[in-house]
Formats: sequence, C-alpha cells, structure tokens
Amino acid sequence: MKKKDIILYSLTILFLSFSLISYLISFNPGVQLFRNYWDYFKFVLSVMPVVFLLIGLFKVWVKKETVIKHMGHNSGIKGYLLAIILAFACIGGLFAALPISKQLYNKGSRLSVIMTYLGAACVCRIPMVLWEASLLGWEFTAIRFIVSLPLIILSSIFIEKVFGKNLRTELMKAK
Amino acid sequence: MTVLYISCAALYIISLIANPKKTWIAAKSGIKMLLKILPQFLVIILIMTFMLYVVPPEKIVELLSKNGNWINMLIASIIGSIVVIPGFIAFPLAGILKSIGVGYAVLASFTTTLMMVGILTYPIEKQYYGTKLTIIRNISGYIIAIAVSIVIGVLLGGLY
Repeated sequence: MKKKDIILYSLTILFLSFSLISYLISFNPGVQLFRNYWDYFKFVLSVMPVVFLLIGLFKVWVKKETVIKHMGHNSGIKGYLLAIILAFACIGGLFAALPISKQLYNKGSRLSVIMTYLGAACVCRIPMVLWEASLLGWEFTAIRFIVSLPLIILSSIFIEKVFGKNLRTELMKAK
Repeated sequence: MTVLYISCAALYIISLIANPKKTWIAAKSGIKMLLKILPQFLVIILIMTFMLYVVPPEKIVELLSKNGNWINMLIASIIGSIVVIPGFIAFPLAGILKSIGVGYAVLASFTTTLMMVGILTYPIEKQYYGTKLTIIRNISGYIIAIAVSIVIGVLLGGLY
C-alpha cells in the first residue's frame, strides 16, 4: 500500500472512531454527521464493487476492434448516439461513469465520444430523470435534454479538436 | 439496484462457463481498479458528509429564497458546482424550492450544475483524466448548465 493511501485510510478510521465516541457520549453533531456519512457509505459499498466487477468483464471480453468500430474515430454520429444510450443506462453516477469511460477510451473510443458519454451520464441517467420529472415536471426535463445534449456533443467535439493532441500523453499517464 | 446485481451475476455465470480463466482475470482486475481508487472515494464521501452538515438543505432553501432571479441563479450555480448531493436529497430539495416559489431558471441552474460540475469530485476525476481535461470538462459543463437555465427561464418563466 502506498503512503498516501495509508494517510487517506486513516482519515476514515479517525472519523469512524470519532463517530463511535460521539455515540457513546451521545454528542449530537457527531451522531448526525455519521448518519449523513452512512448514506454515502452505503452507496459506495453497494454499487461500486458491482460496477468495477462489470468493468473487469468488459476489459477482458470486449475486443478493441469492436470499440474502435462503434466509438472510434470513424464511428461518426453513431458513436455519439451510442454514447448517449449507454449514458442513459449508467447506474452509479459520475463515480461509475468515470472508470467506465476511461475503459472505453483505453479500448480505442475517441475522446469526443467519451466526453459526450460523461456529460450525458451526468444529465440523463434514467433513475434520476424519472425522479426529476415527477418533481419538477416533464417540460422541465424535456427542455433540459433538448438544450443540453446538443451542447454536450458540440463541446465534446470542441474539446477533442482543440486539446485532443496535447492531452493524449497526459491521459495515458493517468489510471 | 437489484437489476444491477442480477445482471452482474448473470454475466459472471455466462463468462465462467465460457472461460473460467478469463473470468478470474476479469474479477481480479475489477477489484484491483476499485482498490486503487477506494481511498479517494472514502475521503470524498467524508468531505461530502461535512459539507452536508455545514450547508444543510434548509440553508440552501434560505439562501435561494431571497434576491432577484439572476442573482439567485448565480448563487444556485455556485452551490451546485461545489457541493455533491446525492439524488435522494437533491430532488426532494428541488421540490421544496419549487413549492416556495423559486423560479424554474434557478432550479435548473441548481440541479444541472449539481450534476455536471463537481469541484469536490475533482480529485477523483483527476485520477482518470488528468488535471487539464478535468478542468476543461467542468468549465464547459458549467457553461452548458447556465445556457440550459437561461433557456428554461425564458420558456417556463422565472427570469425577469
């Protein structure tokens, strides 16, 4: 384990001990903090392992050529559409979308398609959309989609055009 | 959630039948990737916890119930960019904001920046995409969020 990781883990351990003590002496702010923490923690614990196991399968089974064909440089508009469809189905939000998209990139998907996937995953995951529409109205959600999706695609193309070449080395270095 | 579990299990069973060795490699590399990023995850949710404590939903409601719509929209976009609130808190909160008469443009700028811009999640995003791309992506997300809010404000009202 790296030194940095040990420090990061010990922060969590420190917090958990603080929570335990708060419970014992019924220190209310501490108890409240732990309740907030637990909701997030449950999410990370229940969703993330499954997401990463699926990424593992993807890494082993999906051929590079397949990804290049459907989401690579010659995929055209189909690549973007596929990215948006995949984004609709994305469970787990940005935390899941990041490793998934990076894996797609490593398998030969083009940068603009990946950026579209990330942006769309933020905006239009199905569970979130249902919730939003029921609370804020369908018009609200519909306008948000119609305006944001084209802008996401355009900005993704822009990012690739302007920064694509410079970014390649940096992207290779990252995980 | 259940769908996720079932499909993961099903895919692993199929994979196991097709090629046990490959399946083992898949599981191992998945877990390895998770462990690599887990310390950061844990710290981020720790920061999110404290954030939610310092800026509870009631506080956000209070902040957004004063001022004019344009200023509210700006405040909403800043709050939305910084904090990371899970859906189960964010949308009920948006519902409350709507019921107290906060305009659609403000709601849009809050929910959209919440989803597209993540200052707190920056350390994680940086791990995958490097500093430069992370910053560019978040800035463009912010611009898109503002554009969306203005269009929603014009079409649904609440921006004048």
